[in-house]
Amino acid sequence: MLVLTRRTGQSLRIGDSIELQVVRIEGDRVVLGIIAPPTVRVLRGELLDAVSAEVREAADARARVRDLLKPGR
Amino acid sequence: MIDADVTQLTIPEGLVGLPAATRFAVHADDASPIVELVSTDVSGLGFLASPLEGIRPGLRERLVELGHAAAGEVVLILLAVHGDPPSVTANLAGPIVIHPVDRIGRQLVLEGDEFPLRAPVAMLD
Repeated sequence: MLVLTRRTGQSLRIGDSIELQVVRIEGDRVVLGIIAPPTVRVLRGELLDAVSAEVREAADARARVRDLLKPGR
Repeated sequence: MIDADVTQLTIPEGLVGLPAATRFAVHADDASPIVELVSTDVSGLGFLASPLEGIRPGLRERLVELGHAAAGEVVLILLAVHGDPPSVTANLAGPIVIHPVDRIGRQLVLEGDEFPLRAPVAMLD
């Protein structure tokens, strides 16, 4: 992993079209500004992980979903 | 709703966390709100899903308004089971948007309270 040190207001570039800027630092939170083409999906990592885990949950739950949605339950 | 004769769905980028799962056989029954997606790439992998309008009326239009889906696209929601006692939940944070003609889809990842990961499903219309 590449690790860089940046100060508030400084930025870094990823490729030709993505810019990441440190907007401000609030305690242990870093507020980032991102400039990227609309085709680039920018997501919080934990959200992507959560959706991924939920997709796997859904894959494991097929029989139970069917059972719970049976008419007359 | 996907027509009963539509039997194949392609999601070129795969599902989130399952990039190898790109092709699915769609088992739909006009009499049921449930659609079964069976992976033709990954043995044993399958899902039950339901059209978004049957789970949260009006939310599909909201996706269109936000630019996440086009007006004619079908939105399927993956169903899972959580809780004690167990109940069916809908993954509104990861809807699958499908073009109804070419049957090519994409799974979105949506932020915000409107799109919970485990929305309770009381009943399906």
